Amino acid sequence: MPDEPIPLPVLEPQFKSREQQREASVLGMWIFLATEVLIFGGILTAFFAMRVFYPEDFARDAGKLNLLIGGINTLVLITSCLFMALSVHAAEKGRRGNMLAFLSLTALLGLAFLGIKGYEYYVDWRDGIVPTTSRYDPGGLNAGRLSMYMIFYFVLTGLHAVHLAIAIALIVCLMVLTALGKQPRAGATVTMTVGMFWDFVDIMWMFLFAILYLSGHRDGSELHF
Amino acid sequence: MSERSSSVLTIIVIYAILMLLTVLTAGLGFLHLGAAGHLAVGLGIAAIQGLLIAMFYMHLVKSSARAWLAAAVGLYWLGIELTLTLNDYITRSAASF
Repeated sequence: MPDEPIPLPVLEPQFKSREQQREASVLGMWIFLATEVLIFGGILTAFFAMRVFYPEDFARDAGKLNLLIGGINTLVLITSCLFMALSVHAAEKGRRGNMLAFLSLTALLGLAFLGIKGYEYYVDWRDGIVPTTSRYDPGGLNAGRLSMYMIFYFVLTGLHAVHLAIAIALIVCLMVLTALGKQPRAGATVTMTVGMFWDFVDIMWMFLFAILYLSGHRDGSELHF
Repeated sequence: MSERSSSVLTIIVIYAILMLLTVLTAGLGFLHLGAAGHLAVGLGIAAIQGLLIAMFYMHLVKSSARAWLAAAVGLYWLGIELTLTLNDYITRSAASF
């Protein structure tokens, strides 16, 4: 039943205490996240290298992105982070019902983010800024060639969306197991490490929002749905 | 086991700060700071937001030195990646390619 408390983690034989066991899990997640930083970091390094050579092209194309939709999505993701933090708090307190409720809200906001992102891609296509499509209209300095900036935009936001989809799947798995009374052996630690991954995906979006949406020339005309 | 998660009050205060910083970031997008200026300000605010999330939502503030080291190593590698690559690109003219 959802109201039953979350049991303490099962102490595995290789650990001296539950404290040490949790420490190992958290340390492992930080090391994994360090490798994730390098996955995004490699693409961002290429982005900045190209920006050195084409600063005007990049600034103009960055100004074409929809700041309103991007901003709303950022607020959605930050709110999901709030619920994720509250679910970790509930898990540590052993409140299974609260944990499930907050995890549900987190996953729903994650899905909302992906839905809004999909709509933004549609708006991009409609506005003619998606390279290789029939509506593509680069204009200006980019006339006759693809926008390198837009390719980076789709690679980075697509990679981020894949990470978010994985994070949502992890939350759903955790919720189903918990609701069925098959709480993972590590107990609340699992919620904590899943939460760390969720928060990492959120942090990456903060940087992508700053790098992709805010580095362009803007006049307010791109504020529309 | 000692608790790692932040208090509910801390979680909500951090959330409010994160929301304010996001609105501030988007608002600054309309000031005339130049593309590079916008990028610098945006990255600075994103760094503050990332630090707040890592400290209070990812519990780094209550974590051991080992966790701090693992988190710092990721940034260190990223620093090497960015610095050594851009060091070359920034100091080389496009004509030499």
